[in-house]
Amino acid sequence: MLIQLAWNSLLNRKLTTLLTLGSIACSVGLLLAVEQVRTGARDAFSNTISGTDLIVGARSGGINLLLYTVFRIGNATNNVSYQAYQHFANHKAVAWTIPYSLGDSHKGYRVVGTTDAFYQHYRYYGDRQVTFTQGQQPQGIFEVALGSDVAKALGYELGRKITLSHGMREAVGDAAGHDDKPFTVTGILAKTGTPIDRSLYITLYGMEALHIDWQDGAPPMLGEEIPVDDIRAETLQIKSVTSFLLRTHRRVDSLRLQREVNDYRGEPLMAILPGVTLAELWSVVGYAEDALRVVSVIVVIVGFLGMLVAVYTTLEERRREMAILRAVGLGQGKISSLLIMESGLLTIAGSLLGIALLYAVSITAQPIVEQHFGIYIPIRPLGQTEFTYLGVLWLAGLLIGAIPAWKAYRNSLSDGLSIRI
Amino acid sequence: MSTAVSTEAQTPSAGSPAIAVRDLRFRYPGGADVLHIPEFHLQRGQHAFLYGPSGSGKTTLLGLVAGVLEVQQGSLHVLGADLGALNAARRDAFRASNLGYIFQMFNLIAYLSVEENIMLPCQVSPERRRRLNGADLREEARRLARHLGLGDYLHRNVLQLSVGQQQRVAAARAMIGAPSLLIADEPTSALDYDHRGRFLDLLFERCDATGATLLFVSHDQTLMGRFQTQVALSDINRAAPQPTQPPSAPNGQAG
Repeated sequence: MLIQLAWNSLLNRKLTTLLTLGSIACSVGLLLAVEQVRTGARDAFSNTISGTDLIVGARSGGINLLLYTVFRIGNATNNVSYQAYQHFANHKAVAWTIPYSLGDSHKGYRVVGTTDAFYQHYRYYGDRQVTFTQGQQPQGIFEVALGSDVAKALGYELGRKITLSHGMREAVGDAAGHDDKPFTVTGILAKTGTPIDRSLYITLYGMEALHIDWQDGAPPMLGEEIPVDDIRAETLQIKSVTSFLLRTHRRVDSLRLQREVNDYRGEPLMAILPGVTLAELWSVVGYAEDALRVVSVIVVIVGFLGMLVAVYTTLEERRREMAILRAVGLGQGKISSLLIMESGLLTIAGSLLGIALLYAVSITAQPIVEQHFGIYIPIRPLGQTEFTYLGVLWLAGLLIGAIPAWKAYRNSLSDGLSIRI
Repeated sequence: MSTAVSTEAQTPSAGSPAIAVRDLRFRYPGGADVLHIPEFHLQRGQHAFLYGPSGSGKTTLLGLVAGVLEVQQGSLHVLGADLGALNAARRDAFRASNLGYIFQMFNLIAYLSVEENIMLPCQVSPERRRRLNGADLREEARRLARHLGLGDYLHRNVLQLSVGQQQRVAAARAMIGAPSLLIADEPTSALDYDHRGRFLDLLFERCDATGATLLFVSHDQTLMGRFQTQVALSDINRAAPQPTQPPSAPNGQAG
């Protein structure tokens, strides 16, 4: 019966109730959204690569190596000689390796030189493999496959001829380009939701062929270009790769192998365990995450203060109502419960609305965010963390409701059955 | 209601007077006695008129009889129940099941309809609901409302009613579920002369129908002649008159 009264009383103050509900819904929605984005981002982040035991590159920082190899951010300071790569690729403890040769780009998208091993062995989100929606993997020297975002953004189709440029410059056709050696699109990769979507893939030979006539990092002089028709895979000598992924036969060997890479005599190399370095990197990002969370918690507190004000300010004008309820036989405890219930109802209805708001916004915003920012935010059901938050919120709502309830208790104690007008 | 099921103190016994006071004293914290009544009895089924100027302790006496204030000294039996022996929760339950209360004005809960306002006591008190003898609560509320000339207003917002209509709704609410004691605290002071008379007629009629005792508080002595018993509070209260309304200290009792 009390809950019915509380409900009616809230309905009677429609505008205040709606405003309070709105502010609670928005603040709860924001809190949950931050949590969703956070877990979504962390999931996407840590699932970018799986099934790889070691990442090997020239000696620099582990995070740097992870960033340019897996996330295609930043650049290698040095390369790994093909000889050193061969040494570990043929190591008896090693099951497979995926070499990456980086450094060129197309319209701001990175070009990755790699081998068949990439299409065969690369795994993400547990056991997902790179597949093609159209065409097939590049086999010839001047063939290229496109990541799904690249294909979508640039609108390329199979058979299209494109030119690659040196380094990460945007411009096409300037002096340091590879205009003389166009590549043909032979395949388009399926969407993975990882940085794979934002790269172009050629063969290691293709990468070598691009720079065959370059000397000391500078494009060939006029008249010294080697024409495309003269380039054959058999005559190409691969000199280096940027980094490579490695999988052992028995995972227990990975630590031993890591030491072996780090101690390699031929040149300074380093090997990292992707999981460990991912966690390290995430702990750096974690500060931003905490800041976001703090802000959203503050917003929730402000929302609840709004509720407190909304309920508290009505108490004075409700003294008469309280006296009537007392006269009808409600005890002071029940009067207090009535007010706690009002806050409780506001909290629960507000947070349910907040959840609805979250999903409504997620569903409408997801394609827009993906289109404009290239970030795919998965829509997920509420997890344990979110339910814990909601539990704490409801408790907090009741506690905050106890403040006006206490005030009403005091009022009705001093008013008794006298009605103040 | 004479078929009391339990011997609990909150169940009124039929033979006892409606109100029996002996040597009752009451004071608010930090103040002098506002009430000292050596002896007062009100028999059941009476229409009693209680009058006295402001400050004579009316509000305090009503608060005690209704069980909102705690008996401090002396004894107060209402419908046979010793209110001094009951804790606050039991006094609340006692009030819910045995008392009807009509205020001077603004009697109604704004967010409930006329019908819902009338049904309220039976929702608070299971005992009052039982007294409907199986009749549907909503039906009973409608019946009472029709009886008081409110049949067309059942689903109205109470704020749209005239003062006279509001007082009749309050009367219906006070009387639903046949409480044994009806307290009306200046219920007619906001009504004009015509309405006053008709309101009294209704009250008397309903009280006689259920055998309820009516304690009618007013300072309008023109009404006095219509009551069987008249009580001047200043005659029974030995405490010195208070200059102002007593319970104005906001933190008085809890502090």
